[in-house]
Amino acid sequence: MSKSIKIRKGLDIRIKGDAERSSTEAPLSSTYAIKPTDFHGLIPKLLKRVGDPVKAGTPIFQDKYREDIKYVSPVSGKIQEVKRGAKRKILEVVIEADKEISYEPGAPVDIASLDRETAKEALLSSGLWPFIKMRPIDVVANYTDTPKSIFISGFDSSPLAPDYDYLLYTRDKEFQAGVDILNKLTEGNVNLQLRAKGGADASFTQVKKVVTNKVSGPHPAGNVGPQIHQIDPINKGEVVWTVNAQDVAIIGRCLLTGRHDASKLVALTGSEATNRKYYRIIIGANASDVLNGNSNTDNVRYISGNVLTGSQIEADGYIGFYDSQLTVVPEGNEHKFFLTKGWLEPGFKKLSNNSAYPSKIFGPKKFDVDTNLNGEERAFVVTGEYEKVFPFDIYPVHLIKSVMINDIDSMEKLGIYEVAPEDFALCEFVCTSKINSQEIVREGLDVIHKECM
Amino acid sequence: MKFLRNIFDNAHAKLNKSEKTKKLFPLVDSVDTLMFTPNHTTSGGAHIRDGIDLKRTMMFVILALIPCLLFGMYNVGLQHDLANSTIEWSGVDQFLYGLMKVLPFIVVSYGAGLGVEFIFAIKERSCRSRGIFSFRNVDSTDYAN
Repeated sequence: MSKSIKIRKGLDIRIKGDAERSSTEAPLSSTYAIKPTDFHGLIPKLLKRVGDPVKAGTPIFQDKYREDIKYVSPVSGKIQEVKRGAKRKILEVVIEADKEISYEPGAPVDIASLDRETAKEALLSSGLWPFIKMRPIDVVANYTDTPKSIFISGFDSSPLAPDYDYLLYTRDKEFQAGVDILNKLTEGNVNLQLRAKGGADASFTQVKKVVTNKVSGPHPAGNVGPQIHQIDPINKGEVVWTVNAQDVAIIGRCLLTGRHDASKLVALTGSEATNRKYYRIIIGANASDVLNGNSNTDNVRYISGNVLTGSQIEADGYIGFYDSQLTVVPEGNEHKFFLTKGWLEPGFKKLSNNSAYPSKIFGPKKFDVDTNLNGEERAFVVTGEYEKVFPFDIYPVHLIKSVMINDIDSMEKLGIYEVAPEDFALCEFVCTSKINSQEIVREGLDVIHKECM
Repeated sequence: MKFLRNIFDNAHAKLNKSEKTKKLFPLVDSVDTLMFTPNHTTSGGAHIRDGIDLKRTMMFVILALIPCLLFGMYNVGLQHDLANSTIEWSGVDQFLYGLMKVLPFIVVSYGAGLGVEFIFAIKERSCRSRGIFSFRNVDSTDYAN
């Protein structure tokens, strides 16, 4: 049954640096990388060594505790390097790419003939399983579970987010194929959420076998968390799976063609990016192939993802597995005089959700931002700012505090099962005390995963 | 404001030269962070942050309490005048009387609070704010009687 939901609490962060709706092919990178750090909680077990040849679709590592979940190479070539960090933790598996990609042999899959178990087997064996994540906990889904429903968000409301209608333009067959196989995995519905104001691409509006729900309201309306909370809330013991819309199309394409074609569109955004548009890359591409000549390089921060939930990378780092956006913003590492740019400035151009700054009413349409903390970490003061931007029926401050003191009972009673770190991104943005809420929620979810699930 | 920034940078450099003077870091840091927003950038999580911080929030608390304070000062003078059974002074005189009575309370209470904060910050070698401006602001009406 379709639903129409309104997200009443949240905040649209309007900053400069949108990407224009045009695309180009990024040059083929000389190296690609799959980063185990993109998959939270994963302990990788390497299946290939440095120097081993691989093809697109060849498994290069697997989950140590769930060996059926394979992580495959996006391109053909050979393993160039395995970068390790502290305690020999694997950070990146770097692949030196061939000039022309060759694929693991495979045949197109007849999705209609699959049942649940064979559908899971098809996804696991082709390395497509990591695209599916689960709630609660927000990690790669367990293939032994049966979710009560699957959620796909058809739009992204994050700052400078790519337009999903443009990402999926002419991908309707691939998207339908992805939806078809997702339907095999659940007893319940595959829910697709679109903006209530309409105008979605045909890939979304003409897809079959989904329940289309309409969502209105500010960010985080595009996040699956608030959508699940209002459409099909998770009770204890239940599991819901989520897949990114562009990843659904990748799943569909790989199954229809029988080869691991992991190409996707990525939006280059941010005020320091000069040539802001969409670039076609292969998952795991080197960011320099998109950034070179298309962004400023002096004192900037490169982010794989959006400014709220993305991860910082170097100029020659690798784009994240799940990311459809590269953001370039200026570093704010300079002191600001308190009367002109600091804490006592008039504030007509200062981005803030707080009434202490007149920019909330008299400010520009889009703001300049940098990565300055705008203060320092202070005691966790209750100011009411979290509640203004948190659309769940949960007490966010109490939940954060219960995680900080490691009180599992309180965490469960306060709704830790319903949230993911990305749901607290806006709370972290508006926080007066500059608390790292997302990190704290992630620690709480790790404790819950270890102790209660 | 480059010259002002240079003063603080030089002060920090000189403080860091010996262990004894390092203890005085909270004193310099408190004035430094009063004059300049620190150059700390975000690490992990959200890469951009709201412009609001606790300093501006508390400054607005103080601004909001100033009308109460001014009225309270006037009230001290008015009550003093009434206690003499007749109103002889003008409003300005009443206010000035109240100002003379209330201002020392404010100076002593904030001075004592800040002083204790600094002493413990130096002792514990920690610059954590103890929330001086979170204390209930002294209301001058308390001292009318």
